[in-house]
Amino acid sequence: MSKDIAIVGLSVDVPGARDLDAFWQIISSGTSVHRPFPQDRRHKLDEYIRYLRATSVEPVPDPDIDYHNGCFLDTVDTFDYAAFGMNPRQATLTDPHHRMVLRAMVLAFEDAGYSADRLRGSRTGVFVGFAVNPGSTYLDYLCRIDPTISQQAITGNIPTMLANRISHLMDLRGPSLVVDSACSATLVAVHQAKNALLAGDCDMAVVGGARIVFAPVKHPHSAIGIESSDGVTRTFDEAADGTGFGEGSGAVVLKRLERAVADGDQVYAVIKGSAVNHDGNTEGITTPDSDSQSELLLSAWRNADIDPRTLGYLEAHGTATRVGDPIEHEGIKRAFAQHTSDKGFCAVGTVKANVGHLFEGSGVIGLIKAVAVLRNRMIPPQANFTNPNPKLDFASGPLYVSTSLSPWDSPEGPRRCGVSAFGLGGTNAHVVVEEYIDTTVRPCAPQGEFLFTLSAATPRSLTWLVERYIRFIDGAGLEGADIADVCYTSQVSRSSHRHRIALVVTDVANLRGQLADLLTTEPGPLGDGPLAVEAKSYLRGAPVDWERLVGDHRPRVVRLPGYAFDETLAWMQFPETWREQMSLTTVDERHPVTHDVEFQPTAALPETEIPVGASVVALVDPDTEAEAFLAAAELGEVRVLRLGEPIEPGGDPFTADSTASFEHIARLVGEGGVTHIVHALAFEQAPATDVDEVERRTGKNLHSLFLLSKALMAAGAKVDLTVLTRTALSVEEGDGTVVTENSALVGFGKVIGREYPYIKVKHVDVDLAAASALRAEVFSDQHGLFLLRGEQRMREVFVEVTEVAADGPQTYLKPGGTYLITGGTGALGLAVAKSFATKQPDITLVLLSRSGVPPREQWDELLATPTDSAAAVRIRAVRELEELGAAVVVSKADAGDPASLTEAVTAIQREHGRIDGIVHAAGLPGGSTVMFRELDEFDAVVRVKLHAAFLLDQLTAADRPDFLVHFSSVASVFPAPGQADYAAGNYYLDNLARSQAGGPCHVIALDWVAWKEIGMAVDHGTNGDTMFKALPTAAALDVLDAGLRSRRSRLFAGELHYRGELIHLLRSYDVTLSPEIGTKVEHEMQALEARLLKEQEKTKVTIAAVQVELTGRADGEYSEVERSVAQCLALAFGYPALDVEADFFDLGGDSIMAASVAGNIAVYHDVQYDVADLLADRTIAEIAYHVEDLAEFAADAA
Amino acid sequence: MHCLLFPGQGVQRRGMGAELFGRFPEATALADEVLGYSIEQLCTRDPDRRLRDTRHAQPAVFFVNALLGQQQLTEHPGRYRYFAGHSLGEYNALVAGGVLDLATGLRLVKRRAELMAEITGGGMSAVQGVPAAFVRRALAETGLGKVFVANLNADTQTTIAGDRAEIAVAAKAIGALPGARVTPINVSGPFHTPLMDPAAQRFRAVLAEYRFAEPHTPVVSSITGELFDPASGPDLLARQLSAPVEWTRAVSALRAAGVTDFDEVNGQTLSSLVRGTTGRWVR
Repeated sequence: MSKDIAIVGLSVDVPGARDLDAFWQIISSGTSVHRPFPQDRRHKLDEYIRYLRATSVEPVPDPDIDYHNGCFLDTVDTFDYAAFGMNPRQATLTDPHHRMVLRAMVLAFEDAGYSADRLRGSRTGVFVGFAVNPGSTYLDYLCRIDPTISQQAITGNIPTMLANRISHLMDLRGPSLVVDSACSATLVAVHQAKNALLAGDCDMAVVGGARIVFAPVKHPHSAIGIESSDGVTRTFDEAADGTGFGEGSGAVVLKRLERAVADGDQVYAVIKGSAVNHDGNTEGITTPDSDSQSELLLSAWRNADIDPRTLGYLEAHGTATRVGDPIEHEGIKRAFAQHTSDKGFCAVGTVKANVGHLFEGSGVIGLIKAVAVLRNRMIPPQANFTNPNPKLDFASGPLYVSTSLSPWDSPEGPRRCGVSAFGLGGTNAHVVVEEYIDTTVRPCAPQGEFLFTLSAATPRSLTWLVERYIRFIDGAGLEGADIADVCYTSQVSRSSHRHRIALVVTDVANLRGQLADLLTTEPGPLGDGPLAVEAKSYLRGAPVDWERLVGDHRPRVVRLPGYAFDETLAWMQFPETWREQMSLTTVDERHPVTHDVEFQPTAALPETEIPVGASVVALVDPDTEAEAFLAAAELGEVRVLRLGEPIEPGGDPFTADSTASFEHIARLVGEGGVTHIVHALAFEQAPATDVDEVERRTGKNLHSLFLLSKALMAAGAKVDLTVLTRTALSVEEGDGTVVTENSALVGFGKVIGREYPYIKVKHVDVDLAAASALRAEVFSDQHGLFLLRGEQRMREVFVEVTEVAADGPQTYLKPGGTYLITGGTGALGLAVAKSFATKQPDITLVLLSRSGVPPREQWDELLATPTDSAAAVRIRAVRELEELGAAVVVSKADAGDPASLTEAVTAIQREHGRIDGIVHAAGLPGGSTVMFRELDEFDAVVRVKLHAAFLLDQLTAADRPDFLVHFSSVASVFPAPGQADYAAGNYYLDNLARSQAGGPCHVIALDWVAWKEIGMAVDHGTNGDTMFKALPTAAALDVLDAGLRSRRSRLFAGELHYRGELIHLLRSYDVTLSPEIGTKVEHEMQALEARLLKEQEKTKVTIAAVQVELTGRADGEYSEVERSVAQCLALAFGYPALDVEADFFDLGGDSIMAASVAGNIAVYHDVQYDVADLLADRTIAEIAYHVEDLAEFAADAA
Repeated sequence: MHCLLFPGQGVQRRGMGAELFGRFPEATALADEVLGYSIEQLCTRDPDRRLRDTRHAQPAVFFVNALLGQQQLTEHPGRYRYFAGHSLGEYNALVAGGVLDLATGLRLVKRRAELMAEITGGGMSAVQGVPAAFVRRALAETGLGKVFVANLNADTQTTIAGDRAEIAVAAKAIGALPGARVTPINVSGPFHTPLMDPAAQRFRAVLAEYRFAEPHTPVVSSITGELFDPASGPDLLARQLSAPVEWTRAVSALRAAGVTDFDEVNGQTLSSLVRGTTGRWVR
């Protein structure tokens, strides 16, 4: 099989020419179509340019806007959306380049004899040459006007869609890609397509490109140095001073020649060969190189297997720049010199002088010009050429510049051309094209009747098409054409659209007559012949197998007029009012990063009677004074359930760690109408003194609360729960007598209501003198934490800490000191270690690690191969610490396992003596909601915090460190669902630190919000801004440092995210906000609401302004809501008219769009209407029906 | 141990079973005869958009399920020790287990669909993210009398059904639960709620006409979570229309019986429900 590639179809659209004939007219007459930037386009851009200049950080103060001259299209802002299966809105949001490429390729397919039906599912490749222009893109432009559309606009604006959209639209299965090599892109794409055809990747390929100059502003800032001063391209002329901008599009359809001939295609010309290379390392990346260009030509000639002496015309890149032209000329000369010393036999020219430089699009335009030259067998004059550039010595070389239109005789063989295109970045392409001489002899054309078909996406297009065909016939366009071929071509390439014509014709004159009749009268009857039957079926929209109509005489594709697009405006207008709409002031308020939780006095509750219908169950530990205390509180008829006693007579004893006990209790609650539960198990008088007792108490007190909550939730119970503890909380700082381990219940209690709002929780921490106040608490509607000390009542208040007083030791790390970090090889632990080693290099850092690190002797080997294994990361971190000067010991131990922790800490003390400071950073994240949590998982999270902290105190009791930092969490104050265990453990840490304030060891708890860059939150993807802004590592380490240099026992580390949409959540917690915070939250919530309202008002006004006609109902009656729903849809899609029964998806809707459309419908009609509703309703009529329903319902509810 | 699962209404998609009808010409002809229209056209092309309608959706899903089931059983003879189906799918399980033959199953399903479609003015919503107990409590708090938990699909997947207007109020109340997402399901009737009682009564009479054979392979009921007993078959299948689908219970029962692998025909809906059923709080 030969390697010849046939060009079987093409389209071209440049200023002044929309088809090959008009294009040849420009070329053959030596016309240059340059002119000033069209007025209309100028007006549409001026405000945008002013806006850009005014809003850049360094404003461009020039009041005048000057545009380049060039070869500009009249309009780039229109499109025939219907012909490409888009809606008006999609068309508007699609880059004009994409629209032009679509148009060019469809026309080229049509020219090649391919309708959408014939293409569907074919192995056709799509190759587009394109580069994003410097300066403004259409997407930039759109987003400047309306940033909210960037998501919708994405598929219409990313380069790959230039190729992919048409593959998708026409169901083409070959390669589909975009080539970017700057100005050589479309010619490189031709080379790629050729190779793909030869490799068998596809059976047919379309190659094209398009170029507009979005804003050809003439300004020193935007010049790249190749622009012609007056927009005129004077290639090879002595007056040449650069290239003029060109706009337009072009496409060619390629097939292997043998296949094309077999398929009966028209063959415009044959691509004999091609080559692509790169300049390599030249002087500068944008400097062309004659050696490479010469080598390119030689290689293309080899590939084409031709003698270059047979070339009669060379379409040069020829940008008319002072540097480029001489180099190109030199390269061509050198290449020819390898083969011949003949002079002046090959004409050279470039279409850039006619239509300007289309940059990425220029290659295919040059190729189409070469095709035109070959077909017309004439050498055209070079436009804008008067006197040759003295640097180009044409006389001594093979080339000459033609100055007139002259016949091209080629007695010795087929005419041949070369086409060059060079990219700014050094990628060069050259293609060798040969004329196609059809040597086949066809038998006489058959006589008889033939079926002529024509179709269009809109009736207007169809009318225009008929007129176009009449003009074409009148202009001798079908002279010599066989009517059988004309009809065949019309069937296979012009038949697929919705609005159709079918005519049974006998010859061209007959066709002309029938077409003319169509314009004036109704079409005549088709008759009953076999062709008429086919025609009727075709007109009904049925698929027709055209090949079946083909007789013995194999028809060919002939050139017919191209499609007449029905184009409407598809452009978003830049608002002239942008100056009024813009606001350049931004609010940049600062808020403190540190907060605290204080216990502040609050009014005691008034004495209350026991409410009617109240039924109380109390859980008590007979080993404590709880029952007596409750009795003193006089809670009325209380059913007291004592540990160890049967819940009901004869039943199993009530056990604190028994699921069955609590399921039983939950059943009692549900069946017995219990309204209040008092969990009074944690009523110990004095703190635990050893870890076994801590184990026992957490098992009895915290685990029982966990199991109780879980059982109540599983039963769907509704109840008011009082968690009672006895002096578990340190009201005053430094109260070492408090039963800190029981404070974990506070953290737990905070989470219950957030997971399951039907259990309302109050935690009441009392001393024995507070019994008389308890009743009011149990039955009150206030929830949250309350501390009762005799008559005094206190609550939690969240306050700002605007400045952390530096009233502690300013250097807290001692030279030679030993510092223990639990969770030491976790991200936070390592960050702390690094900050310590940086501050005080000669210290020993003991990193306690559950996972540990491999033995040192294995480190080198482990790091020898690049790996990101957890072990390798830890080893690298340790080495980094050592490089800072610290001695590092990694101690493998589980902080949550008392035996393991004891052993580790004892070993450290044995080997390093006193531990000078501890950072307790170990932690496991909370996992799931109480309902789905198992006790062992729950316990594991708690003990890493609670048991470990207790033990760290115990183990260092004899020789207290200088400081002990507990890493606590936002969860102890503002927990999220699923954090019950985590909140419990951390609340304990906060309270522990508070109870030890002022002691010999500075104990401080730091309540971290999510760290932004490292740690647990990052691992779980919860490191975004919530009520609080996520904390950058540096800021977090600053808080740690400030905390250690203070005497504080606690800092809550996190900045409130006042501007965030979640700030309102802060008020949903039972934690009182300080007046400053409360005011700010209130203010920001109002501001947010105002912003939303303003946006809603804007949306309503925009929707109300949409003009849309409703169709689809015979009586023309539509409800108000149908009209307004139609406006919402028209706003999204842009249609001027909508059918009341049209389906959302058929209109071009997708799920991304659905969200905004549903939102608009909801806002406009003041109803709750969301995506799911829209996806179910789908038509205007259904949506309106639903909306009316909802509105009625809302009215009823109100 | 393997169990084969059959999904119910809701999995219908245009184009389903396209490759099957040609492979089972006799069954397809039988279905056309029983139904009075072309099942193939309904499933593959659905030119009149009838697949959304309960009346057509149920026979379509049942029949495609049945063919897929037959194919699966032929490919893996003896693999399945249990069958189960979700609501409508239960009929497929009964056919697979030998309790009903295909034609009887189809006749029953056709009638069932007609009777169910007669009850209108209802709605259903899917609730995700919270356990059924929370949903029940939220429903109880609204005080609405005509909304019920209709399906217990997985640990945190439930559907509610009932009066169309009340469903909207209930959805709002449930949506206020932390973590809950409520999405409307496009069906006309308040399936699996007491509001279906009239249909259940009439269907009971229909069922009484049919004989239920002893299963050769046990079927676990999606209503009771227990083995299907032919003696109480008519009652159970009538009750099924107005009783909640206790899918989590069926899954737990199957697991308790030793099932480790769940295969499914016609999609992956039930498999994802099985994965979401940990049985953690069911004791």
